[in-house]
Amino acid sequence: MLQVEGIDKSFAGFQALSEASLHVHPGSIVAVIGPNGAGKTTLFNVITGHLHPDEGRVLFKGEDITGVAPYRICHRGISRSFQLINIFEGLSVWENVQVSVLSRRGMILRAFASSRGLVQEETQQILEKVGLADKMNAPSVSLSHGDKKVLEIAIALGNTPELLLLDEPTAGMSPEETRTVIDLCRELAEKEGLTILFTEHDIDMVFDIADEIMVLHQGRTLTQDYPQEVRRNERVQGAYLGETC
Amino acid sequence: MPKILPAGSRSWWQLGAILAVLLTLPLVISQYNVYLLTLILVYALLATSLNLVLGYGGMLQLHHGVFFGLGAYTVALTVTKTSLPFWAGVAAAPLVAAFFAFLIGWFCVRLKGLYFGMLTLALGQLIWSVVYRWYELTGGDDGIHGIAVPEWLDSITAAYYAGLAVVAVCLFVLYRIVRSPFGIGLQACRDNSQRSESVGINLRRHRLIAFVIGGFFAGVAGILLVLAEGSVSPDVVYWEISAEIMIMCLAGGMYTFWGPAVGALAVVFLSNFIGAQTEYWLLILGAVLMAIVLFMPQGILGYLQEKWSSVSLRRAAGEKHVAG
Repeated sequence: MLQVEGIDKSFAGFQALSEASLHVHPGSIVAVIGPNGAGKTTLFNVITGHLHPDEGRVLFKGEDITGVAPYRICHRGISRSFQLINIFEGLSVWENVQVSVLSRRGMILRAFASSRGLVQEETQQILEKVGLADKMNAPSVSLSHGDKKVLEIAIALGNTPELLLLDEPTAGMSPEETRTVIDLCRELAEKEGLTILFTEHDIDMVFDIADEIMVLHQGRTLTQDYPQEVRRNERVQGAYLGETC
Repeated sequence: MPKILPAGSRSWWQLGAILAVLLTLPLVISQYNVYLLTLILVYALLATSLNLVLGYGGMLQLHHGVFFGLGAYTVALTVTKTSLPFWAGVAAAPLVAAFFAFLIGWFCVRLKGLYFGMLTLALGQLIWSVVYRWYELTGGDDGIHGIAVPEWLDSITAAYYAGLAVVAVCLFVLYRIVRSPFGIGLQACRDNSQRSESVGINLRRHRLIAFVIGGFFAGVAGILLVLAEGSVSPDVVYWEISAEIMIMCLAGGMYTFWGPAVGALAVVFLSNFIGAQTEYWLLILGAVLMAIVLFMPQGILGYLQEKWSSVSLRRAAGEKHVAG
């Protein structure tokens, strides 16, 4: 479904990614792990069009999407959440998700229709799915950190993606909140067949739900394999797991 | 972070009352005050059209007044320089304003923040200097006087009622726009440009459309200015008006729909009535504005709404989202 081939990206002389590669099969959950500064977020930004790579290409469903504008990539079926809270703070919880649904449905330029009655059902369903239905009229800025992170995912789901990218979805969350997000991801993958690519610092969560793990180290892909193989891989242990112990 | 509060049914009732007062006022006040009321209406529309770009779109539009002036000059030039009827000028004014908004916006939406603001100011002043210098066409700093309007509109009371009708319709349309999917998308672009692109909004196109809509309604306000004044001068394309309407937005409440109209009322009222009492009126206006900025950073209406909504929000907290 997604194929990332030999991506190079440098910022003012700093090589953030060098020959990073990745492949994601439809319906699978793939995790990207690596120490801080390994290039995980940069890789995501390249996939979603926020950054142009210096070298390499990104293929989605067989089509080259390298350097395509973010809003176009969204309409092709890739949606993402962000590591840092990235919501629409002037809008209510409801509107945050609604705007995403309206955009994906191509209704965002309707200037003379009332938005009140539009895409009610879809917005409602998503908010119920993520457990924010009881807070939907609240100003999004008033949510707790954990709820904002969940809203992050809800906004991404509003685009009805085929491939969902989650950049550290549980960062800063309590253990219970983390549990909820893990369950949500699993449900999305199993019940709705959503393909998920995520980065995460919580190693337990990674080995818990990922079908495959890609290890990024200093911008380079060390390996991509099944969790048990990655655990056994000596280079990974040296570069990453050893470091965290 | 500010939140633009939706109007409930109670607000519509309040609007009806305000409209009734505005309809009956000319019967009891002097001609000069009818003229001032007309100006307030013109600036209310102009400031609200700016607020679509500034408050809802988050774009630092520093020279919105130029589209107002272009609208006014389009009517003036159509009447005095061509054999076309008055109504042709009226029809052309918002379109000419929107066209120039498109030209200027095309470049500006590529920039952000202060750079956006500087370019709007520079391109706007460029248009001012053309209007100011092109004597053969615009009469330069003499302006254009004696613009003939249809007979039934040729009194300040008639201009007032025509203005009231036009402003009411325009504000209704603008209100619909900010509550539409486009309007929510625009606020999303304001709140978070990166995320709005990630959810599939074409940020530049979205901003440009808002910029052009703002220019269109500023052009409509320009027509009403010609009705009220019967003349135009290069002052209407000068940056000073743009600064004044920005003050109206800030003072009235940039994050409310009706704030700029309240600001227009406050600024026109203060500058005329205090101006009549004392020559130090600018000092007083400055002091009042400083007080507003310091004690009501959300503007007059923003401040009042916050006071009211803290009561009504608690009441509505339990209610579910209701289909419109």
